[in-house]
Amino acid sequence: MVERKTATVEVDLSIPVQADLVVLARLAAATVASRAGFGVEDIEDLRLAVEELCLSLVGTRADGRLHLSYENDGDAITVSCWYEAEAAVPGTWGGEADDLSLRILDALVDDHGRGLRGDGPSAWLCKRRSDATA
Amino acid sequence: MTDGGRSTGEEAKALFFELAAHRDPAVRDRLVTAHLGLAHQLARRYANRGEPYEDLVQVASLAIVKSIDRFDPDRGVEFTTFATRTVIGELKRHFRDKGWAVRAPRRVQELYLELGKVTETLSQELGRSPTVGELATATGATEEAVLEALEAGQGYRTSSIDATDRNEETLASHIGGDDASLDTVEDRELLAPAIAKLAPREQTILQLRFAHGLTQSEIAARVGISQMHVSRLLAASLERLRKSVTEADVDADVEITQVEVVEVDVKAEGAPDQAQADGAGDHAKGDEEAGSEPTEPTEPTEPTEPTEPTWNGEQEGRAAS
Repeated sequence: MVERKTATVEVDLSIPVQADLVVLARLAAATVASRAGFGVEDIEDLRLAVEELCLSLVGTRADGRLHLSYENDGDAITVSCWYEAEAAVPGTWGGEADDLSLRILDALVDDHGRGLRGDGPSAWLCKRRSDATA
Repeated sequence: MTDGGRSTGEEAKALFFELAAHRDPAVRDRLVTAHLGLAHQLARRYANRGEPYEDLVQVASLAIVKSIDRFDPDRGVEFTTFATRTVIGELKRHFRDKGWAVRAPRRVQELYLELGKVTETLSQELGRSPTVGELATATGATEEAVLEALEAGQGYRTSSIDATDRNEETLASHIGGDDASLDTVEDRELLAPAIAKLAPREQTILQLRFAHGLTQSEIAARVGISQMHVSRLLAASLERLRKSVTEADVDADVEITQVEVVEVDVKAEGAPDQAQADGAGDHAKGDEEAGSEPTEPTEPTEPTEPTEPTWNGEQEGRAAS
């Protein structure tokens, strides 16, 4: 029987936009999901999805910070992410998700969306446990 | 979520209904061809992680075929969503089977190798994917160590194939022999006997082309025949495989189309280095509706190694450091 930890947990993470630090975003997601009793397949999906979320927000930019917020309510994990550029580029939003990103997220998580937060792009995803009852 | 190509999407849906009703191979072929672009896109996305790009394309293409065969248009799910999930699942499995480029301390490598086996065993026992806690209990490791090992399994460098697990089995022993990429074909079982019936030289050419990713010209130089001759032998071999499989089983359609899939690669290699001039990084924009253009076959546009100036690409740079 999978142990369920139902208390809502919120974790915030802020990382510089550097390729070698995306591991922190993935690890945080995996850890939160693991604590919630997610199976490894779900965790693997979540890892890939979080990476895709980050990738889709920063594109080719290598400046600024990514802010991530993980919320676990026991049966679902919501990851919100927003990008804070060091300097806004006029006319450039920087977070235009390509179609493939959307497809990948469609495939990996139960729900996701995009928007703006301050001057920067934001996005979120929600992954429910495979064995969770609807 | 994907909102482009509404009309072509409807057209694809109509084809899927037609396929479901009549199982017409011609319709199936049209759908496969139309969706190969998606296989290339996804393979490119997960390139730079220690596995040859062409291997990823092959795995992804097979997954597209599998998706088409399993897709039920009555369920109201977009095919591209369904297929993307299948392709990613197959790519994950491929990376897992190949050791997903573990580059980590030895203890982590050992644990990662062990986790692969334990996960498989527990999945069968439990009828679901095991949790990290269950893996930790089964391996005697802490949950943190399991998470660390799983993360290491998503590394981006090729591991030492000499790393051994606790049973002193090396990663190499899990990978197999020289024809590792061809295993993706042979593992389908149906093609293996047919391949075995080919002449040794034809088998060699198939292996050089599809397992090692050599171009026809490179194969020609290595085997000592002309590129045209290589082309003819490849075509003949594929045709013989196609016939063998057709005679073998109804399910052989999967393998037949796989052959066709890889043959597209062969045709595409006539334009050398076109990927470099193809706007790498502007991924998915050029062929973003490849998955929904059933009437105009989408020629895979980037058969060569991709470059992607995104985090993936940067990770590759990190890997080299």
